[in-house]
Amino acid sequence: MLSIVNSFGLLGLNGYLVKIEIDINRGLPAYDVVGLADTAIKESKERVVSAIKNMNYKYPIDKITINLAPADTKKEGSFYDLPIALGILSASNQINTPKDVMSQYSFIGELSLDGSLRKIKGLLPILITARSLGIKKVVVPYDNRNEAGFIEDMEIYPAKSLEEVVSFMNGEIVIPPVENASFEALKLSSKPVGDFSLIKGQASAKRALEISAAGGHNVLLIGPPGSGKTMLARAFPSILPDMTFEEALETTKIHSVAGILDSRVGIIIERPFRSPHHTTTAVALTGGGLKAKPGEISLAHNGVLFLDELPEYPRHTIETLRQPLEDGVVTVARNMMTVEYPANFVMIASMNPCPCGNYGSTKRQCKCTPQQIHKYLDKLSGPLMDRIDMYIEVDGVSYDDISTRADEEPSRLIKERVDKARAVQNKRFAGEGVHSNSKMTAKMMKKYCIIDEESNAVLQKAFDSLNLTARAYNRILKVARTIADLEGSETIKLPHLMEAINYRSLDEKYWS
Amino acid sequence: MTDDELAIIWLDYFDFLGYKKKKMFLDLFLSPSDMLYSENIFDNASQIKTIISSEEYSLLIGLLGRTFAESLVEDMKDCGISFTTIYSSDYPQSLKDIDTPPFVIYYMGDKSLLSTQCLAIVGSRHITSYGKMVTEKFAKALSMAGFTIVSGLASGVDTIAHTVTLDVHGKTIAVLAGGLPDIYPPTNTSLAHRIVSEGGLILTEARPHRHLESFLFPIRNRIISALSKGILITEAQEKSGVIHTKNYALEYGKDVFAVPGSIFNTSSSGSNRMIVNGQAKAVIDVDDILSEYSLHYQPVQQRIEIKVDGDEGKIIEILKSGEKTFQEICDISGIDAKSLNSILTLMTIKGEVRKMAGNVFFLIK
Repeated sequence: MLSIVNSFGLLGLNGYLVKIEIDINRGLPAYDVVGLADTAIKESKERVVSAIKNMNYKYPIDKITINLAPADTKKEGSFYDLPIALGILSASNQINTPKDVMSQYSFIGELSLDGSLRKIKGLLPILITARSLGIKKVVVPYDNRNEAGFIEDMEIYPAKSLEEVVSFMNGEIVIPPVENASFEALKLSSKPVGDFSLIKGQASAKRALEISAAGGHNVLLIGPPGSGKTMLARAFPSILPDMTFEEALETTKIHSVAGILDSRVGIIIERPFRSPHHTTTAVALTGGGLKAKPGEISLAHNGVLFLDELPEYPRHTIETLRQPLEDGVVTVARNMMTVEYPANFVMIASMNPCPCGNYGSTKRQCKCTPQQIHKYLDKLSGPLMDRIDMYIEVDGVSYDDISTRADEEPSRLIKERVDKARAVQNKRFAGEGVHSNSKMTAKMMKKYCIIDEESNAVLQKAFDSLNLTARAYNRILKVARTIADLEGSETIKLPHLMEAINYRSLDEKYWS
Repeated sequence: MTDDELAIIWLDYFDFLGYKKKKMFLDLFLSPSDMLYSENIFDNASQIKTIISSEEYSLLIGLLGRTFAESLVEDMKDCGISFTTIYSSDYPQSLKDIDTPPFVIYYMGDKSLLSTQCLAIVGSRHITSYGKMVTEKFAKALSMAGFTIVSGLASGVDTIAHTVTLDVHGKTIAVLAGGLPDIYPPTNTSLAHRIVSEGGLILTEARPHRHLESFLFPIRNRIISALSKGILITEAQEKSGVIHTKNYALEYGKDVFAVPGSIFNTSSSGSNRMIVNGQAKAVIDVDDILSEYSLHYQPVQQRIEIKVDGDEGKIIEILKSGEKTFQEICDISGIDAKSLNSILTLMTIKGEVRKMAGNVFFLIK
């Protein structure tokens, strides 16, 4: 007898409908899976057989053929266990649900040997696809229920075991569908880890990070060891504007596919902060591997990618960031598939001025040879530095600073200013396809970054006396635009420009 | 070109002949040009063999004669290298005056600089921001006062001395240790080209394409000392090539100046020690040097007139007591970070303050 069960497959961040056809015939007992299934699916036999038996159903001793349609797309993952088991039970008349009722439902879930349902990866993108296909009813593992709470207009039934699903389909029990969770309410409960009030001193670096947060500018923190670069970077998410629901959903999708989503919450509320270690590989950073998994830069989507000790990363690894930094997406092409992952993040990098960290310091002596320093700085290529808007020098901190300073401004107040500046930008770029000053195109800059004659004259002088490079020009204007937005100023004024120039004044010292 | 010049170029080709051996070699002949004739060499073979080994001798007689010497000259021409020898009429007097004048000077650029008033600025390859500032200050002022700045094109102090001089359109001479047209360190190749194209001079005692050897560096330093009226040491560690330059300068009766540095900083220990030993005159201002030569330097003020509020004066007051980090200025002045940022940048552009690594600011007088 033949039965057909609906399920889903996943390609990158997009799901697609998979029809599972199960046919049971007289013949030598067999369990054949066709339709480009990977090993995890082929191994489903053992799980399905045990689960059916351990739930006190009868496993048919017949020839079972399982077809995953469309048959020409490669399928992977363990979430076909549940639909296959149901299909077998249905084809062997152990479920008496009519075919038309069965076809209204879709099933996703991994079975354990005792018949209970296990959590799966990538449920959110699958549900989003299901909704767009007009499928209303989906049965999912109970442990995934929180992830399902943010999908409206659907009935999503969380089930704990195969038996529960069968009873539910037979109409013997009622499973209440997942209730819609409130994103806003969840947001209130979120609490960022770091806070700027915990960092003593560093007024200049804090101010610079405020500008970075307001305009989405990539930054490079340069300072001696122990000056608080890492602390500043870790506190950075606390001044970023809250994620919108759409942003949260996008980020959650990626985390769901990568299998690192916290199942207790089910959605990413805070902007992600990813800090891959410098031994990380290029593939881990950009995404890829056999299954074209999302990389660190995609996991940092809508959040922060923190690269501590930038020159320690292998050069070819950080060079791979160039294109994603520009486009905000990364295309991962592998043998079987080409997947596009979004990768729109603010990059914060930190480094010492030289291998020993004391180069240029007046207090401590640098022990590096000129060759060592040259080699160290040489690891950062021009094109990459070109994509960093602000170079921030972090003060060397003395003990007095840490011990005696009064209270510092909390992140909450800084965030309010950032939010205001973001609102100005959202209004300005409405319908232009960008959201922050850092992503302005040349055409937009002409329109929005107008400076008066006086400022232009000063800028010229600055170029001469600070030995700035031509590529610094656009960066200065973009940052100046953000500073003006923070001030609530319509036009870019001289002080704004001056401050922006400050964040490029390192050019001369290190990269000339 | 005289035969004597050609002969000495030929002799200079043999790296195994050191200065003394070359001198002994020359003494065997009535006139240097005799060396161009192989029969003269063969006549003196037994004496030559007391100076050099038999392998070296066979190498030498393999390359005998005028033709080979002329090919050397031809090759130099192709590389754009000029030369002057101890037998040339245009050999600089300042080098003739020392006891070991180089037999040949190979150079690129404007040789007339050798007859100008030269002052050497030398120091460590490994330089601190203090040393950098000192070197910049003195190189700028001394070259603007009319001195030709002599240095060794090494990294650190030498590089800054050459660069700053060129920046203010001054004249500079780089004395290399290795043979032209190769430049050591390679990172300074573009600086070397800049020196030549902007009216400076690079010269060396080593024959073209000569492989660099470590002993060439100290003997190069005697040329720096010989060319200059005086030498200024801006920053040097106790163990530094600068010690050679200083010793030669003292031997040749040149003035030695040194800028004192912090006694806690080993990077200034060499220069400080020279002052303590009485070998160098301590200088803290350009006028301390210029007064020795009855010269005067009037700095040209290039002020940019931009109006600012009273905060600028406040910051100048604060910085008068010494360098401060951004945070310190912020705390003392009570100006908020964003305004302070823009004011300090403006002051930097105007040339009133300067920022160093570590976000430290100080006042430029």
